[in-house]
Amino acid sequence: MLTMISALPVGPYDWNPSLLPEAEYETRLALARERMSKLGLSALIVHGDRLDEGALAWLSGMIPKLGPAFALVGASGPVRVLFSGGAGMRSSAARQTWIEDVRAIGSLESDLVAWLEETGKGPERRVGLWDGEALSMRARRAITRAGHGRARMEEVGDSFEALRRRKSQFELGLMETAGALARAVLQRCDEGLRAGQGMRRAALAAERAGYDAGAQDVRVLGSRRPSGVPLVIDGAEEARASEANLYVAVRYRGYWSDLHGRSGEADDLSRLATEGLRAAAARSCPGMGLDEIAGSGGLRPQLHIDLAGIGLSLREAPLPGQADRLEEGDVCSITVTARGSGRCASASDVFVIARTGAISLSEAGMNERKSELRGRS
Amino acid sequence: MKLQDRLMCVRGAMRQAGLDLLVAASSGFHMIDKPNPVDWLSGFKSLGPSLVLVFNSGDLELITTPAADADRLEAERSGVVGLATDDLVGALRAALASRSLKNVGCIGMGAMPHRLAGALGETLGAGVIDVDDRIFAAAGAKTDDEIEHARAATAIAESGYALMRELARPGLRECDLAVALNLHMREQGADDSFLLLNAGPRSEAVAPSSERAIEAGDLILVELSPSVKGQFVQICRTLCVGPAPPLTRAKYELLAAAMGEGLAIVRPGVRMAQVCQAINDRLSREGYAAYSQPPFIRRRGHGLGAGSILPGDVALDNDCVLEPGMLFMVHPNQFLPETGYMMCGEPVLVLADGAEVLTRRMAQLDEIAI
Repeated sequence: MLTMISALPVGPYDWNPSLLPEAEYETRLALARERMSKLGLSALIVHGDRLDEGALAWLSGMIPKLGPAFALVGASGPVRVLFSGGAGMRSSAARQTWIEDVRAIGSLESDLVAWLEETGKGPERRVGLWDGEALSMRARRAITRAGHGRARMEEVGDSFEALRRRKSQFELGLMETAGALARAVLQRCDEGLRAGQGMRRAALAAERAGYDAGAQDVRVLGSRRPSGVPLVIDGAEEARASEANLYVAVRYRGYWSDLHGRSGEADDLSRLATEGLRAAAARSCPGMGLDEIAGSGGLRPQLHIDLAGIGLSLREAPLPGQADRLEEGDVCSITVTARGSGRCASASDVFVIARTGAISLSEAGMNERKSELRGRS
Repeated sequence: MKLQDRLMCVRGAMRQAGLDLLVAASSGFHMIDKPNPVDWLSGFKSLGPSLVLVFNSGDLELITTPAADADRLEAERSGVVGLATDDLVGALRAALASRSLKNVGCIGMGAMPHRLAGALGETLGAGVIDVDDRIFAAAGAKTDDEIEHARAATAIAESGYALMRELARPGLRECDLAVALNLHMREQGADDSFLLLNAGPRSEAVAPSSERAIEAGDLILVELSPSVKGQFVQICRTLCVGPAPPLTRAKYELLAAAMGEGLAIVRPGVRMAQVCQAINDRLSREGYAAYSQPPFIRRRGHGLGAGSILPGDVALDNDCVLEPGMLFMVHPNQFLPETGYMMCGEPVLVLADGAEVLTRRMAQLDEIAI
């Protein structure tokens, strides 16, 4: 679900090798280079920006804070990271990543030219661009200019996105924690609303609890009417809501989890959504097309099913509408929304796609952090 | 100035440029020193990519994503024809159907995701031109509503800084302090915040917060930049953890005096370069001419988005002439060899006969007892 992106993330973003060791990143780099070799690429430019930092974070651990950032990967040798910001910000940026060669972008075009000249020459040289969805037109033009006469730039994102789908044990552990935090934030918001707090106050208290428990980013959306769509809470107004639809997204050490919920008594629509979620999860097996699963909502006209990958991006491969099929090891957020008479209710969870079907990540038993949060809230 | 007055200025600029249609584009990202044309022309802060179409006939249409944001669009747009959709390109195509448009100009397209920008460009057809500079230049003043929001945001920023002086202590991580300040400012009514905060005994620059723990003797550098209904402001402050050494205090007073020199000349008709020069001159007289240029300093302030960022940077190469209603930052934030980087800065509004600093308490080198 789309949320408002804050102008600057401020939570704990330093790289923590005890949670994601260097060996994990070295494995990823080896996978990327293997894919480069298969595609005949001599180098790879990986982009990340505030609107979509997943690819860059996967390779480098860096979540760009002030604008676009890039990881520059040659066929061998050290990787270089370019970040937006002044040279004086280098030490802050370098704390986010395992990569040692971290430099501020002076002029993107000139910096890329310098790197291309260092790592090889020739107009027949093929350089891949793994750009995600957010690369701006201005930056794309600078990359094209940098490559002119030095390399053929090829967009290879689809091929490389596949590398991010199967999550490692480290990643699953972090996502499990993110999920526990999301559930606790949702519960805290619900408690606030039930205690008579307005939506804004309840949401902010819930976000504060999430940060206190270690979240990097917490986003709470709430409906402005009892059974409306959850919306950004961006005004100063303090609407009372004894019943509300809620949505929570939490990022922990780079990894997202999200969750829909409801404050107030369950009604027919929310029960229908919960049943629909159970049915959609049962159909989510390796080999199934995402659009087939989404289409199964049509069996009950009021149900809408949204299923997409989640991890370092709030939405990532596999994605609906692209003929993607589920693979073992995918981690997906499934949301089922029931609609009727201008009202709606959603049920959702994050699942790991196993050989036998979808397993809820919340059933994996990691609840220490949740109890910690409840204890402090 | 009202939003309608701004639109009238924009339509005038369109006529001068011979445009049948102006397409204003936003990626859905709202930033303190980057323009957001959709916010600027509609007052609506979009979640995802969005467009405002300004037709020479006088019609104006807002198309925003995602479709799920329809309730908020309905509640917040004011008299603008609006549509929330998951298919921005399809909605643009539908909006242009049955219209004969020869000359189309765009603003904000360079910041759009390139694939989406490409698809929008195909829909608009060949010959579309970027007209960012001349359209934004047509109306550099903030609207009355934006000025009101800027005042509210300034009060929130000052409240944030007051809290920072209470909370900051050795052992607290930079990022935890930053989160606490952001939450506080949102509780006070901010809808977003661009918050740079770092600490150290001798920093090279202000930077995003890390997990470093604050230590006694550090200078905490902070840019508190909340937004209210999309209008950002900023205050720049320096806080000493423990008693400030006399040399640090003396150098900070120099920076504050340099800021005063810049603020003193702000009035209609003055060029932004002159404001920068006034600050630089004061520092140069004290022997810091070499530090008043790159790589030590790039600008001495900037415009305040997320709508228009005119009058632009307080920089020697900015010849933008100040007009009443313009809002910008004056911050001589500076690395000095004796102290490292220090910050002071205030938001200033250009009035018909001078200028108004929006803060109640100007920057001074504060200390926290340890």
